Amino acid sequence: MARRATYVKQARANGEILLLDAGDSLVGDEDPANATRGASSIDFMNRMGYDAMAVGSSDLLLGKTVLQERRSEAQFPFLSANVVLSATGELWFEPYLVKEVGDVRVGVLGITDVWDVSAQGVRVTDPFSATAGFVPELRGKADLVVVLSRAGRAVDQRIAAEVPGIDFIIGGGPYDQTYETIENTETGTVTVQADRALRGHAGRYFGVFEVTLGADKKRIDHAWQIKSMDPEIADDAEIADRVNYWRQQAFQKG
Amino acid sequence: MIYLRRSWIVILMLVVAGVFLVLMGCEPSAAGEPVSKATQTSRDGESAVVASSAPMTYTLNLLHTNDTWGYVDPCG
Repeated sequence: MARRATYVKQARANGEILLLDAGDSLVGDEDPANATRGASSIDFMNRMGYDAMAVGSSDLLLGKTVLQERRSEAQFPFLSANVVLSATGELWFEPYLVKEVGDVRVGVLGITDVWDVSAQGVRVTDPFSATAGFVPELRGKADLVVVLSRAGRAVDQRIAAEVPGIDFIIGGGPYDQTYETIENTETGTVTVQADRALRGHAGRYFGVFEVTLGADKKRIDHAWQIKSMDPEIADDAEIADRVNYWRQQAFQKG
Repeated sequence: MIYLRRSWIVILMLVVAGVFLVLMGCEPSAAGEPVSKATQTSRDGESAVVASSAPMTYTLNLLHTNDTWGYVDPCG
């Protein structure tokens, strides 16, 4: 985590960045995240300056009350275009964010993987339909459109093929990482996955898109790489202190 | 005499060409500058600003994580 913070600071010093998470990053199988019910994760993400996070089904499994607490602590939006409140049918989260990065308006849409979370008082609707419904609206507000997807690789590929107007799909889930970008030749949508949910492995990688847009702010080129947070990257002192703090909190709760 | 008359004709043609270029909106380029500059209009509050040295391209980086599970120390 402390290396990740150093990497973000370096990237931010070198130019305009947007810092995103494609979901299932609040809790897993280890402390301090589990013992603090994701509070440590939000603290780290706030301090690193995340711009948005998609909501994953494991985030939903924290329960409505706890996830609402985490949401209120976060200094960035939780995004999902397909999680609705069972009682009213209304979206629980903002479906998308439009953020100006330098002179470029970047639209970020979040979608959640279908999971039975009815016990939490919420329902996950079809992610493909939600994406197809919101992208035209988002395209009209943004120069670049990014989908943060927890929906799974098959759904991501269907979206890439059938929903025009998306520049990038950043996926997550228990799938192999994509070391090369997958570009749909019909729509031009590029799909990637930087990390993989594996015990002892999660959180090790950053995906980094360098995007070039022309004077008309249309995408003309991109380069993508997976960056591993290896020991050569020095720990960020502030985040290292917070890691110790949250470990103590988790120990006391345990 | 013929030589002098040809020189005047050449000078006259150069002057006409210069006037023509100015009328077409071209400027003689200073050393090291591109002949044509891209221009772009941007909004600064209420006033539109024309930035003659605006970049031809924009570059930004999308950094992203997924499935971090809140890990603080993956793989040591």
